[in-house]
Amino acid sequence: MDSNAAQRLVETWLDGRASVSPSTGELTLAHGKSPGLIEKLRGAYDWIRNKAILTPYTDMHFGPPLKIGRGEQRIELGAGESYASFLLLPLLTLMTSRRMVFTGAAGRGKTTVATLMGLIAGHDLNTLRRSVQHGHPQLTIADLLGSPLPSELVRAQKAEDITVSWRGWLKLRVKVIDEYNRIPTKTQSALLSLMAEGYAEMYEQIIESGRSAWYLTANDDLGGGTFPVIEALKDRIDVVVRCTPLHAEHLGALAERIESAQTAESLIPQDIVLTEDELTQIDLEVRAVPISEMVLEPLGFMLAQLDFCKRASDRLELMNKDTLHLAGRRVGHVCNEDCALDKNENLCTQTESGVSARVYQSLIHYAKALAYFRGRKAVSLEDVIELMPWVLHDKLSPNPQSAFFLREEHKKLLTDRASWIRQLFDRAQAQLAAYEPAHRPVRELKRRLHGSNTPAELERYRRSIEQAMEKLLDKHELNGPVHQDLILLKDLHARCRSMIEKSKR
Amino acid sequence: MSLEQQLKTAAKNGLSLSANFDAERFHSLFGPGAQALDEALDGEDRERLVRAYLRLGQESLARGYILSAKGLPAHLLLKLAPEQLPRLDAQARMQTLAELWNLSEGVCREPRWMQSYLGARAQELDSLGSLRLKLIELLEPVLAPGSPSTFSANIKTAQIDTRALDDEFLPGDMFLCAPTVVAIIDRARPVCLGLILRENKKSQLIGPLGMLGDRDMFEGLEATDEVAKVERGTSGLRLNGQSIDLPLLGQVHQHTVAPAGFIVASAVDSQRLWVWEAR
Repeated sequence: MDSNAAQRLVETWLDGRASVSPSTGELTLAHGKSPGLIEKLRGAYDWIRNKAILTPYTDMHFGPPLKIGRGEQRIELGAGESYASFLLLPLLTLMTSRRMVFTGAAGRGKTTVATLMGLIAGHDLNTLRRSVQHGHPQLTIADLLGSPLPSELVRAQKAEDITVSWRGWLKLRVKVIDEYNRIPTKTQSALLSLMAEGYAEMYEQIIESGRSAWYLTANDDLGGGTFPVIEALKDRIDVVVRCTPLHAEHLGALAERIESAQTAESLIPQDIVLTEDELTQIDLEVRAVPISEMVLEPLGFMLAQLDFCKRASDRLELMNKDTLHLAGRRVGHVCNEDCALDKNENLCTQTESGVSARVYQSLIHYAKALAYFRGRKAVSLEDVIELMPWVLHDKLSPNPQSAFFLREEHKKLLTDRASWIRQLFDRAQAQLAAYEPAHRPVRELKRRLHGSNTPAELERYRRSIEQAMEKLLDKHELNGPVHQDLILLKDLHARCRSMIEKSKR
Repeated sequence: MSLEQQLKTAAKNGLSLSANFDAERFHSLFGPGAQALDEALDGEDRERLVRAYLRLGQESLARGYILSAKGLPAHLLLKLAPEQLPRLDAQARMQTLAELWNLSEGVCREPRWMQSYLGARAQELDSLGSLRLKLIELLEPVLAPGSPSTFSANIKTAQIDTRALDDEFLPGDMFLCAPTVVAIIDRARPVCLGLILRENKKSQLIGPLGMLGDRDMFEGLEATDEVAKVERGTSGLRLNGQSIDLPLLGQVHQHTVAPAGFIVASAVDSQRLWVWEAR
């Protein structure tokens, strides 16, 4: 900069967006630069937490925990950022256009948070209030989706002549279903196709719902409302969060709202409202956040073990809990003293089933959204750990007969599912570190698959796989991690043999 | 409309404008200024000016430009505006208020070190009449690159004690964030102080600056090895192969070299900074 730099800088400042209107003499302020998308999202979270829902319950912590107290009286403080899952996960659901359920007692703010998400997505309050679908035992498919006018039905010669008057909410970006566990089973099925496939069909007419974020509420934590929730519908729900109770500290704010006759929803500020284009841009940017092998490996290590059951079959490929369930048996029937695996070490004993590929996808997608929200360049293991209890909440059920849960110190985990899932991951991490020396050669063999070209090299590679399998079986008991590696090695072996065959032709 | 009503309306509008808006803070920061203007003015001009003042207050809070009474924007809008606008001609008041806002927003868009530097010297801007000139005068020494030095002769050596600004500050990583402004980051805490290097004058410590972002953003400001090759020895620094005299420095922790002829260093075991100036 030269000596006039200061003068030029000040002149640039003076040429700002405030000016005086020559006609009215009033001060005018031109539109300023909008905040970036991440700032907007963070602003939305802060506003909800500090001004709308008022919750001091932060249960997602980043950074090394600071521990206070001992034993049962121990409390962990986050050294870095802290968030309330009840408020952050709905925002991540909006960013990813996925599906979530709020659980908790009546009056905890479930519908309010869902409505706030709709407002942040740019819907107006009246439209939103009208579009909330309230679950009740008499809710029919026509109530939910719409129906043709009776006159149309009378006039129509064939099904395609009928014009269905679809309900307006089907096209909204944010969809709220209140008390979904009170919806009759048949209507739940209609909801399922809408949530899972993104369209509804009636009289050969189809309506597509477009990219949407779904918010469902349930008053009962276990999903036991008036009607049982069909499994397929449950499986389509990506995340479950628990609403938090009101803290006495915020009674004053409630009194103030009564005085001013205002609700949290009526106060939404303009600068946190996202446009359709901004939501689309967020979606693209979230998907582009990278997730490395360093994060995926521990995640896979834990989740893969949960499917494993040594006693389900003698065949390696069938040693999983699905084999048991298809035979009408439960893990508790076989996970007993006849299985030699240590129930305090091996994770397979703790769960009734494993998780589907859909769950992995949900977890990865939410982890990307969380990393994006936190302004990180890539997904970290912390992001996955903090999300895991909420993504797996309804996907994993414990095996209460397991010897693990019979121990006094573990009994509480049967009632606190979030802590249970976190404990599963902590154990898996420790196991992964201990198992690393055995896993390293397997990883190396996987890497070498495409490095062997000549028949001689391929033969050597095949023998290495066989030796590795023998070594694993000799030196380790057949548990979840060993099973995973054996399956992988067996697959490598099959692929190698196929390459050998091809090279001979 | 009474002042109370105007304040209430402005606070309500502020809440619907921005998630950052805090009505309580708005009342405590902009209430006294609005009251001063309300009392000092009369007629239509009063209501219009107070309304404009409160509108700028809303925007300042929404954008986070003014969160306390500290800093240059706060000095301009919370102190100078209410005190001195009523003394101006009626026609000039609104225009001056717009200029105060534009200057405030302009400063807030500049790097943290500049905001901090101007904040530290805001009290020197004591008159609306001389505001523009005075601002230029304050900015000139930090924006001018200074004449490039050959580092051939030492003209001055100084020690700066960082405890003057922060008792616990322990100088860690340091780098130039402007040709004559050094950012120094604390070794243990996320705290950053700045050092304005002034030719032939005592360097000025400013801060805290807030975190400045990636260091890469400021690359290329330091002197190259061709001009001044500075190496750390077991004790002290060597410039182009020769030891330089920095009394009591001991083992060097970090250093940086400004092309205008400054070498700034910190010691492993000290809260001080050493500034070696050459021509």
